[in-house]
Amino acid sequence: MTDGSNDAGVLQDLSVLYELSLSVGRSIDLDENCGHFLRTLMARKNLDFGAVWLRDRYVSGAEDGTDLVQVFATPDFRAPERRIPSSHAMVHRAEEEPIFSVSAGGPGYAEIATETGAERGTYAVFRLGHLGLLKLYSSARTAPFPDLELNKLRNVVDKFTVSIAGCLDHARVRAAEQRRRELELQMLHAQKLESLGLLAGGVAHDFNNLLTAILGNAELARMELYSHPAQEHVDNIVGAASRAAELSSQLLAYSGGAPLVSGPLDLNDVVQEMVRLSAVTMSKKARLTCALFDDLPPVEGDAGQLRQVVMNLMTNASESLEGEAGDVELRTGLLSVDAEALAQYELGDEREPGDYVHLDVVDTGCGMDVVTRQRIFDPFFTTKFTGRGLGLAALLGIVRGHGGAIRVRSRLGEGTRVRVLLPVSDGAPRAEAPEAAAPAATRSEGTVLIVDDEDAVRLLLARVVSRMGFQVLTARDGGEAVEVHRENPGCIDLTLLDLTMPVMSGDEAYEVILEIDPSARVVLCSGYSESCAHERFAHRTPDAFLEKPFRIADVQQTIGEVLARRRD
Amino acid sequence: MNDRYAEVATPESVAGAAAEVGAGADDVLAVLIAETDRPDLDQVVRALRRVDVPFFGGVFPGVVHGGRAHDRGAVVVRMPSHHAPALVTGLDREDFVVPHLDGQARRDPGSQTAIVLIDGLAANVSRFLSEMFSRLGNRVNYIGGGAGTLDLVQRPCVFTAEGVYQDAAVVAVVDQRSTLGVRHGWSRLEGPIVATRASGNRIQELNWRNAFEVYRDALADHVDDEITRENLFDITKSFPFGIHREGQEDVVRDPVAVGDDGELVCVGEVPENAVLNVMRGDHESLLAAAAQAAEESLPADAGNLRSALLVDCVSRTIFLGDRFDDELAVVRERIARLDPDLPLWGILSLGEISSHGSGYVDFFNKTIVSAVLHDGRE
Ligand SMILES: Nc1ncnc2c1ncn2[C@@H]1O[C@H](COP(=O)(O)OP(=O)(O)OP(=O)(O)O)[C@@H](O)[C@H]1O
Ligand SMILES: [Mg+2]
Repeated sequence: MTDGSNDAGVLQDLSVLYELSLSVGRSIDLDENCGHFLRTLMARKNLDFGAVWLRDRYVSGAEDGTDLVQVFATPDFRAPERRIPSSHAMVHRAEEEPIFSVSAGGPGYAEIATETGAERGTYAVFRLGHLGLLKLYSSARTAPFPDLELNKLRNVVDKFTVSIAGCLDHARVRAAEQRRRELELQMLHAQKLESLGLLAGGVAHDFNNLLTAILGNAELARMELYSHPAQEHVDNIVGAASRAAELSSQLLAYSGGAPLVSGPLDLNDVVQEMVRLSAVTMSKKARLTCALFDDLPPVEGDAGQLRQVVMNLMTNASESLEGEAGDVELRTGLLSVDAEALAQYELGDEREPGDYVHLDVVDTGCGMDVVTRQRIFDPFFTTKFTGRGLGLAALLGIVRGHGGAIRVRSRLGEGTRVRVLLPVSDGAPRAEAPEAAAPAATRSEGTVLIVDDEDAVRLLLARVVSRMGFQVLTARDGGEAVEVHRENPGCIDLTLLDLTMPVMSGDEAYEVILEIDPSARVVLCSGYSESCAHERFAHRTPDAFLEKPFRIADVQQTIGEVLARRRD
Repeated sequence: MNDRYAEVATPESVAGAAAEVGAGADDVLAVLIAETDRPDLDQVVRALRRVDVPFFGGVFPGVVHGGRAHDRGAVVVRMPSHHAPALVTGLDREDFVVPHLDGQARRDPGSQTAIVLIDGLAANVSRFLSEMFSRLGNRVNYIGGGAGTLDLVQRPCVFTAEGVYQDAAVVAVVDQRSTLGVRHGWSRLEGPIVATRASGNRIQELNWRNAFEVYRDALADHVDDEITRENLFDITKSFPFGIHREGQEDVVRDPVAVGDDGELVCVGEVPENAVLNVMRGDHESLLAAAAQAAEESLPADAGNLRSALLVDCVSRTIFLGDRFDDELAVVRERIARLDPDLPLWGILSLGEISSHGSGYVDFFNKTIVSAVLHDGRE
């Protein structure tokens, strides 16, 4: 600028200040605002570098953020240092002198020259009120900016300070709005998942009833069609229906509506059993290792569902190897978790700190990016060509039903570590009953009452049971069942009772039947219960539980077992 | 032999010159084509690709070779460079992307020179230069100019092996030092005039009024003929705008056309609210400036001298008329003081690019930029 001692000089100064002052506040965006002003300033005053430093508390909102953070610099490459503490010499000096300038060789130059390639030249520093600093650099100048020149820029820099405050306010409002929107989205997502869960549960329940009929009838047909050319077709029906049953069991698990037979059991047993089956589920190139903790306390759980958990995790781990060689490790152990650790878990906020049994499944597979990682528990979310996206959704349902929690750690290309926590049970583990050979072929005697509101299922059961040699009575709901018992006191050897029925539900009927005949044997059938089927029975639990959809062999076996126990 | 001039620019002659000059893996060829022959540039690029050396270039109103200006033919010059030339397209839009040129610059400041050829009629030339500067900064010196043709009709005019582009720039960072001189010789006549409404290279309003009318009124006392839209270009060659820049000559902006609604179209941007002056020059002041630019480009302490690169605004040739030969003569004479055999090559451009030595890079009009390329002293 000029020395302002003549008209032309004043006019020149005014011209530059006019343009500078109009370059301030041209955008409410901090970056653009700084850019407009600094670029104009640098062009008119032939400078090489300009930067804006602000107190961290105005940038990140951290209450105690007294550090200075560089929020804008041009050219950007010159500024390796992006954060300096408030104890820095430059900050001190600016607190004492709101405007100052130093040249290379002058006092304090070295502290101020934090930019690269500024060994020569001159700096000018303006304090931006309490917000921070404006730093300017010229490589051509060898003497400090004269006071008069700095003074001419004072008002326009003050204006720039106010405009920055405006940008910061605007950014705060925007951030708050953004947070609100994110929360809203999260809510919506949660609601969507909840209704999906209800829907899945509802559909799966009806679906199970239908599948029971399909499977059962197909199996009956297969017996009739022994060595008939149509048998192959019936086999296909049985195969497809079995896969459908598997699918609906995943859906039910997700919705938390799967029937739960709970008892203390050893998680190591479950893992070992699944490892024996791993040849079927795992890729040939996966190297599977186990590190199972010897003194593992029992967990409270449903063996079938925990098998499903281990199986789903092993399958995912194996699939993550994408056909390449890799490692999958299964680990169990006992862990004491505090609230802080729980916070990192899915469902962790619903759990109490304390001792948990954990199962880790670690793979060296493809890993996940952040976006994938966020959605893996969503039902139907899959990145696989043939995936259904139900594995982890079901797993989450099961873990929720078991009072556990789950954590997934993964990075793209760096493998995945899944940890499931399950609460420790206070009971002793039940030894899993060895699979009894099906006494199917033996003909039996006696009377069996079949109670189910679904015609197809009732009919199917009637056929199966009469094939076994029993007399069959049927009832369409709990009320009818009670009637039948009243009319035939002591004559019914076994009752197959559906749980969910109109008029009188299975659990209500059960209580009444026991009043009529305290020695009555009852097998409860259901594809659906809100939580734990056992909880619904106050005094005595039924003699056995048949999970829909069932195979004929299951029915035969269960009936055989219950009646055999009675004879003992 | 590091440079060649083909008298007629055809795809074959350009490729032939490139083949003769040749290039190793760490070289790049600058290919400068004068507009008269109007060769099919796509064909030129195809022919050059077959020669299989990295290259960049453009079409200009004229080229300089052997210290003489030519309005036809093509100049091919080989220079050492470790990187393929970078191409930036979309300079007509606000959201063009300048690649990370970071890896191209060495730590040792000033040891390289960025040669920048840009579509001289693109709307965002200065913004591009400022973005490039914020990537490379003054680690390199900048020299270059605007490509295009004298009819000021925008067409694809800069190229690399990737193709021929309009609204684009090519940047080659060569491993030679440079000493720069930038001068124009114009001085303030009328002003100040404020560009109260402007965007890119268009000025809609001056002093809060119609831009064309204000410009015309400001010149009323200085020209005899009435100024109309039709004769504007004849007038402006003598009366460009200047934008203040501390410690340097004002940056000249040449209004070259007027739009229907009276907006003035310039070569290069005029920032909104910039304070302008109408400038005037004469033959003597321009020639003196040329001599000064050439003199300032003579390195005080150079190692191996490589060549002298001249970027001279084509409007100076029009303004100087017959005396343009004198401009080249004074430049030749000054360069010869350093080394009588130093090759002198370059372009007659639509706008000039230079960094004033180590300072901020800018886009000028009606200016002469002289650079001596050399290896420096270790
Ligand atoms: N161990 C893992 N490594 C990498 N990605 C995984 C892993 N486990 C899960 N994923 C990602 O999470 C997604 C969801 O997994 P999920 O088990 O719910 O469904 P799926 O495996 O795709 O289908 P399916 O219903 O057959 O199990 C997968 O598609 C995959 O992208
Ligand atoms: Mg899966």
